[in-house]
Amino acid sequence: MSTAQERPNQPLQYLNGRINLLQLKEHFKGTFLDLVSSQSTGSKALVWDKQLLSPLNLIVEYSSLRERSVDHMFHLDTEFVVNSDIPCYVFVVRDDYSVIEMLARIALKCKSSLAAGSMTFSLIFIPRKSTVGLRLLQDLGAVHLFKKIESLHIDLIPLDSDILSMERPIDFRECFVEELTDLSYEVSKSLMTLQALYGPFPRVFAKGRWSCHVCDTVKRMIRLVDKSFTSQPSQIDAVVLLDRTVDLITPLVTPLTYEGLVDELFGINYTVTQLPADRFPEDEGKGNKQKKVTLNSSDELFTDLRDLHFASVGGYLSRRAKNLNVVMDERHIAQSVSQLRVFVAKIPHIQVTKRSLGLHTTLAELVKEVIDDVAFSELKSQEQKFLEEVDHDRINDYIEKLIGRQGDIKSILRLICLQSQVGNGLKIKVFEHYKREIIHAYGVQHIVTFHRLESAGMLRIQQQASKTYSSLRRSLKLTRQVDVRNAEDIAYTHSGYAPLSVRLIEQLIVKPGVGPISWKRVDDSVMRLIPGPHTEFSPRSEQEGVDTTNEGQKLILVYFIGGVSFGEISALRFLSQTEDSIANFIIATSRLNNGNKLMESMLSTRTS
Amino acid sequence: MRVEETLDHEIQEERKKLLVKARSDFQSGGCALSISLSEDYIRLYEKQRELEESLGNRFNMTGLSVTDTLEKCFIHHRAKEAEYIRKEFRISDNQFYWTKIKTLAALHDWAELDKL
Repeated sequence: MSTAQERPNQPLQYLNGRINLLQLKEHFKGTFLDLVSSQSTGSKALVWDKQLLSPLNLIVEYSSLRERSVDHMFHLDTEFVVNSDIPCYVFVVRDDYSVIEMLARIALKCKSSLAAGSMTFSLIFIPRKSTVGLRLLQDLGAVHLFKKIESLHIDLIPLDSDILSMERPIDFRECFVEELTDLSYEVSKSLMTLQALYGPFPRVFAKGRWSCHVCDTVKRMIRLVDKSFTSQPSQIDAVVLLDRTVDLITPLVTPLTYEGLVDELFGINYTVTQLPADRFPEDEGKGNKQKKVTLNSSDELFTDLRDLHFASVGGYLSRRAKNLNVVMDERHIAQSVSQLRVFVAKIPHIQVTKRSLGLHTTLAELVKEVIDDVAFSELKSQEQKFLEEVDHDRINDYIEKLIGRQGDIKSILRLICLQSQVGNGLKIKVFEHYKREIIHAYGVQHIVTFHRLESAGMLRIQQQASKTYSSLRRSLKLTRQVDVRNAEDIAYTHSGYAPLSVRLIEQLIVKPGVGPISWKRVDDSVMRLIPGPHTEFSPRSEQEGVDTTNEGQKLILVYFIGGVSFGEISALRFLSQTEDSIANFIIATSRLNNGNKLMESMLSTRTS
Repeated sequence: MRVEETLDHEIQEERKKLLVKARSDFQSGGCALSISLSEDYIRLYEKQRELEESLGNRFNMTGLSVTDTLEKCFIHHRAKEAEYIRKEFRISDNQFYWTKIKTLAALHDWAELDKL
């Protein structure tokens, strides 16, 4: 674990300190530390499942582990060897077949000292232990060698002051292709954790089959907890559950916000992105090929930049650089001692801003290199054509060309799925042509990829001509001309396309008019056209009255089951700052996703 | 999915057997396109074997897609086989020429490229 990592330490300004998601972090940290120290009073070693390092890194820092007499840390991998001088080992692991096998191997090697009690092993499963996992450990003959086997339910990880995510790698696939109920159970559980910390939710809204399923589960879970739970004041005014089946279009479209593009081009995982180190002169000579950069709201400049359309980023950076120069020049003007003192007090802030400006200027250059390329603008204009229903009913030349060149399969599939989404399915001839071409070009394993895309509804054969997308496009104004430098509508996030999911939320809450938030505010026809049932309920009992909500701006938690993109997050942030807005948002999701990550999880991974 | 299992196997013959099984699954499931595509690959494996042998077993073609195989034909100047693949698997002109251009450019065979 790193010792000093930048962390979000201030709630975002627009949330006006309404909610502190760090409370959740503290909660997880506390339970984790207690669990670790309960294993043994003396010196101990933690052995980490590598996959858990990034998430846990955001929750607990090394110094607090030291305080609980954790004197050693190891990675759990094939090179790990037990040192007999350390009396107690705590393994922090996922419930995964290969991990459990490895654990059993290690335990069986130390069988004699474990039996004699000169050494103890214990296990902490995150986010939980399963019967299958324990059974496997038993079959391998190792279960009795562990002194304690526990599980710790860390689900939603606060990634920023307004974002919570489970970061489950194949969330979309497990939910919508394999239809595993695991994920919806985890979501329900996490909603219970949030209610325990922030008070019961006065209202819950759900749209989509999986969201409604979660809604039912939460209802049942609430009945099981004791009554004291409902007496807490509610910090969150409403919850909106949306699952990805409600809007399969948005993740396919490339966002053009700063953070969205960085994520598309370089990937952001647990707030960290990896950039080519040779572009950062101060890092030269360190020998690393990749430079890791943490992107979150603790970086003041990034907070301003992240939601801007990329076209505005350059101008903003240069204005900030000029301002900084003005401030720096004050040292020449400063004459009296007191003036100097004022200047000196500003120095730390100046240095931080200077470093951050340097970083984002380089990062913006890196992004610009890619999007200035013809390939990117061709792709973007093809996306826009489909969204505006231009030539979406026949075999597309651009897609043909990409397949011919054996371009990146993920972006090709994204386009094909987009074509299918806007046309409410592909004509059978078009579909079969694409499938044949792709399987010929990329291999027979993609029969599986196609099967998965079809099961998830991303791709389908047109049954009968229907105008679902056209009608939605009209009634929700999904495409429109925007001035991206001077954004007036959420459509700026994708240069002329407004995310359907966020438009739905806009209808639910921002629409001017009186009366409580309700699905009734949304046009009936819209609700019918968007797939999946909808429901709403109040976890607080009727006697207490629903109207315990705060005056003015409401605080709404939007929970995206099956992933959310940075473009959608920017759109929500924008929405909460518009004049008509009656709400601020915090976002929870099973994964921060983008089209590439989503396709990656659908691809048949067996490489030939 | 049988198709995924197929790809676990290093040995071409094993792959083929599994793919034949997959085809029969598709048959019982009634997926016409998947049947024809898996048949394509079964025939492709035969062709790849032939090619490997004629090239003196120096090149392992296991797991290559139709287009990849076509590319290999161009690299080794097997115009006849390339033409066979084009016909047999109904390769579109688009795909055929893109692959050819790509390969010739990579081989710096400008003379041949000019002829197109």
